[in-house]
Amino acid sequence: MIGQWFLKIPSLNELATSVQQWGIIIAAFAMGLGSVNIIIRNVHRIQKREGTDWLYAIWLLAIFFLFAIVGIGFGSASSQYRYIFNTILQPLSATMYPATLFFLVSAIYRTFKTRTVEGGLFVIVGAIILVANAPVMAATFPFLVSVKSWIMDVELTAAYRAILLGIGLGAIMLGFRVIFGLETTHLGREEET
Amino acid sequence: MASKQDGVWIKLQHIPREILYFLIIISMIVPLLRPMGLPITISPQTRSLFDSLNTLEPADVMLEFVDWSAGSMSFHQPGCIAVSFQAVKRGAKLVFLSTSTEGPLMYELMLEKFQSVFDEADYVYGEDYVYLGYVAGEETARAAIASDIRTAFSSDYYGTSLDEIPLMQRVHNYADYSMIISYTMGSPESFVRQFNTQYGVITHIHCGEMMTPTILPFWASGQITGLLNGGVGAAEMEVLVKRPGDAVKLTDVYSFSNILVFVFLIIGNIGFIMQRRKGE
Amino acid sequence: MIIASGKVVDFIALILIWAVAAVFVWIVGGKRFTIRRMVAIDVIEEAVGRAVETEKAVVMNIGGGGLLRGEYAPATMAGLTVLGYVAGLTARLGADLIAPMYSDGGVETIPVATELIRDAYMAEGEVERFDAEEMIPFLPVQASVMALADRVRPAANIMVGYYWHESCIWAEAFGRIGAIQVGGTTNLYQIPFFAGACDYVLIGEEVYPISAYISKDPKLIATIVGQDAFKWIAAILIILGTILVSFGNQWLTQFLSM
Repeated sequence: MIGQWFLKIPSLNELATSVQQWGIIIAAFAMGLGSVNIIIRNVHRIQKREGTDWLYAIWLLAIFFLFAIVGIGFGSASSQYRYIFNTILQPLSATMYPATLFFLVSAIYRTFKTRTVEGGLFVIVGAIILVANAPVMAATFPFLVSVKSWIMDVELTAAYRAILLGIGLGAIMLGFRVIFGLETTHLGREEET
Repeated sequence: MASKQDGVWIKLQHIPREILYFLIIISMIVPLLRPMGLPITISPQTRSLFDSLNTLEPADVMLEFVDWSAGSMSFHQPGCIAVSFQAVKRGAKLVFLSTSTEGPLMYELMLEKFQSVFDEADYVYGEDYVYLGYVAGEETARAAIASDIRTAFSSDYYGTSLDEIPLMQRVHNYADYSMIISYTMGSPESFVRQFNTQYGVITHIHCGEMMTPTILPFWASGQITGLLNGGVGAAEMEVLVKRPGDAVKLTDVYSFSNILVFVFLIIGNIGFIMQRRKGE
Repeated sequence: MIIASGKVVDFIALILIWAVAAVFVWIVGGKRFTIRRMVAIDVIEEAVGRAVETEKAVVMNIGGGGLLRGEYAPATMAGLTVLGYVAGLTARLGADLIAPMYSDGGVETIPVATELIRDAYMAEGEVERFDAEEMIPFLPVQASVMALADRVRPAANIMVGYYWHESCIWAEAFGRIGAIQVGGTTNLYQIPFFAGACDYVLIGEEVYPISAYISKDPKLIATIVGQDAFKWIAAILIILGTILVSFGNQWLTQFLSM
């Protein structure tokens, strides 16, 4: 893949395309593996019948098989599949994601305090961005937009580029360690030094 | 000894979360029930996307990655509708596809609202627009789509072979895409890596507000041409294409909720600072 | 030219990075180098100790990035490294460990995590305390982890891996119950949430040297030194480039774009 990115060698590109196709196939298999794993674990939970968790396991498997049977039987483009998606998954998913807002508000209120100089700067910048992100404030006080743009385009961009650089170099070095067998701690094996 | 005033400052720092959440809910419900039509300013990133869309010609093909989920549908769908509307107005051809599992259903829901635009513009499925469906693999799939779309898709979402679809007969790889736009909450940088960095394809992103700060460096460096910032970006796009819709309705909610969070931040810090001063 | 245009310098830089790393690992050696103190990792042992004293559990979460997706796998590997370390500590000190596995893309890590924790308990001679069902619950949605926080009320919550918006929700849920929190991720969007809500944070690349820091393996430390050498080079190029561009000289920009 590295070769495909940097080198103009047709046979290497063909090999890389093959690998990409294998990657797509493996990803699909991983989803299948995950599904089997979910079924096995929840069946165990039902067999154990400890507490009330096993009731949720029954519910999970019921919804799982409902979607699987309707999807396989009628097709994922069918009106039946779309109906159960629109009535079950879509509203619940749409509800969970915005729940982030409430926890975010709670976290901002609880933790963003001017305990130190850096904390104070954090609060000031956060407050400016919060207010400038409100469309009505941005339209009413255009200077807020300029300040926010400066913070985002200069300060934030610089900081994120530095972090990105570090992450990029770290990932390259991690790849080096994995390829040459130096990094095995995530597998639980201890190499003799 | 703690005085009554100290108690006030401590209470300011410990407002029950039930009250916080209740006020947040009110700040969202009231503007939805009584829209105020508060003003919207257009950001340079949205303007950049709009200007780029205005360079589209009838022979051009734009790839639209329908990668949003139900959770972000409230802003991604209006954003997609506004962008697609402008592309259709320019006569460009649209290839919709998904690299996220909920994509196909999100496309169907979007199409319910957008079909009338296709009908008014006499757009024919297979000739002017097509939906290829979902392909697993995320960045691997995106890389495959960029290098040769037929390694990722052999047929469209409805099972028709790509070679039998008139539009797809001339769409093979990056050289045939005039621009791409990704509506995603996943990994927008992967689109930059696989399309713009690798092949120089014009790339636009519509992502959530929390992701915009990290995507801005790519816009500043020119690797992303247009960037829609969550719901506010979708509303700005609706204003630019002169088709206010669901996103514009939500801007009042954004305004109120942002201001309310700012007020909570200030109240908490006033309580903290005053308590510390009294304690000194 | 065999190298794609616009990527010549990038390719040479990649080869150089690997070459320098190889020199440091196999020729210079890492014994003479040390990594600076990483407070977020050091505090994990204290957190496990506190869990033992208060008879509460330690929750260790490796995120939902999984091992199959190239962008997320490095952070997940770092999370697995920390999981092995935490499992060793809890086995040795006698604390309860709960390592919830989140469904979003992380299911392939469950067998890996199970073996990792089992090996750690076996190494400490505590294999009879290992119970995969209790220690590694499969929690399909974000709300289940929040429910875990409320039910278990752990003394410590360690989150190292790849996270999306659930980072804020979980950090707040565990923070509210008073758990010591250590957070680390390479997902740029979530770093601010960890920085705000966690007691100790690993920012971006700080998750990568964890294995070197914990194991003190000279070869791993040598790769960190090689990485740092290139950070210096990058910093010098940035400063030089900024000065040159400010005076209207595009030489360095053009050279790096070759």
